Amino acid sequence: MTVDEFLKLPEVEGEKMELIHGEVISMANAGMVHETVKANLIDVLAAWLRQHRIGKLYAETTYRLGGDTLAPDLSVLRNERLTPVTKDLPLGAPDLAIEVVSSETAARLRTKIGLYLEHGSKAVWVIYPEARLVEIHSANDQVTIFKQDQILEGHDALPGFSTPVSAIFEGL
Amino acid sequence: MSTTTAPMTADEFLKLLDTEEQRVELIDGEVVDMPSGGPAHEQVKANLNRILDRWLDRHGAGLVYNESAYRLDDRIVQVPDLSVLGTERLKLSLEERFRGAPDLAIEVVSSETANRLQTKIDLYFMHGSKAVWSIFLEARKVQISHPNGHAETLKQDQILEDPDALPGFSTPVSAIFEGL
Repeated sequence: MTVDEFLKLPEVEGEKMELIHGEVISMANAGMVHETVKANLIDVLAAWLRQHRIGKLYAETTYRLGGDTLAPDLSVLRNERLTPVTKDLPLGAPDLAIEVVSSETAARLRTKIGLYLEHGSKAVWVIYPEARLVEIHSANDQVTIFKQDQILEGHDALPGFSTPVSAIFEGL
Repeated sequence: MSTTTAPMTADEFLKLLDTEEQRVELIDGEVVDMPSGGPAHEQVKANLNRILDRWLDRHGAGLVYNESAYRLDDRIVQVPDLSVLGTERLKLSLEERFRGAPDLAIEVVSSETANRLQTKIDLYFMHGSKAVWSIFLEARKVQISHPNGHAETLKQDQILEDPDALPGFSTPVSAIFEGL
């Protein structure tokens, strides 16, 4: 299926979909663990972005990456990318894509990370609620793992940002 | 995923493993089915097995094992697709050899969840692995993970090296995916 065909699909109540390599993928409805982690991240990132005004935080926004469309759990677009605001899907990958892992396979997650980075993301954060880890995948294909007792830094995607990893898993 | 009613110890599990035809692992006392790989999975395993075996043999640097069960602790037994034990480890008795994580663990990713893979990698490092390679078939990528929390992702046109687990070893990533 092409992106244009995909975008014409009727909207199904409560269902989120992505198009990966021509295949329509329905995204699992995640439980409270996933949603709690997302809420924590929204708190932390929104507060920081309000102060530093370098971009906006988006939730489950669909991005058009060539022939694929992906909807990261959270994403940040830097100001340079925000104009003009049109009715179309944002083109290209967000500056920062964040995926909170629920039931997806390791193979599909890896494909998504690759697509974000190939289409211009400066970093992809992958949050593992079960292992209480955060992985940062950078544009140069380096991966860094942060554990509960460490401080996560924004580096290229959000220069100057930092948060204790434990804040992301608060309440679990 | 099959589960037992009561948590099982590693000893009980290893006895079960002798009789079990299914491929299973023990995670936190729970017997978990391993996804069985398709043809691509088996081809990549065969490629890697040959590449590693030749190199290890030539350098007298250790042995490559295929789906061997490693007892990480009393409640965890993991079975990497391939694993390498260095010469130091091979000096141990047969029983002792498979206690703890292998020097190098290799997982050829099939249908396991992202959570499960991450947990496995974490456990290998907690129990002494020097490196873990994760092979992603569809994406044609290899991730080399290190105990210090860093990793790099290698693409088809790159050269794989692993100075921590296999000093001096190198192979084109494309050789791992040959025949796919």
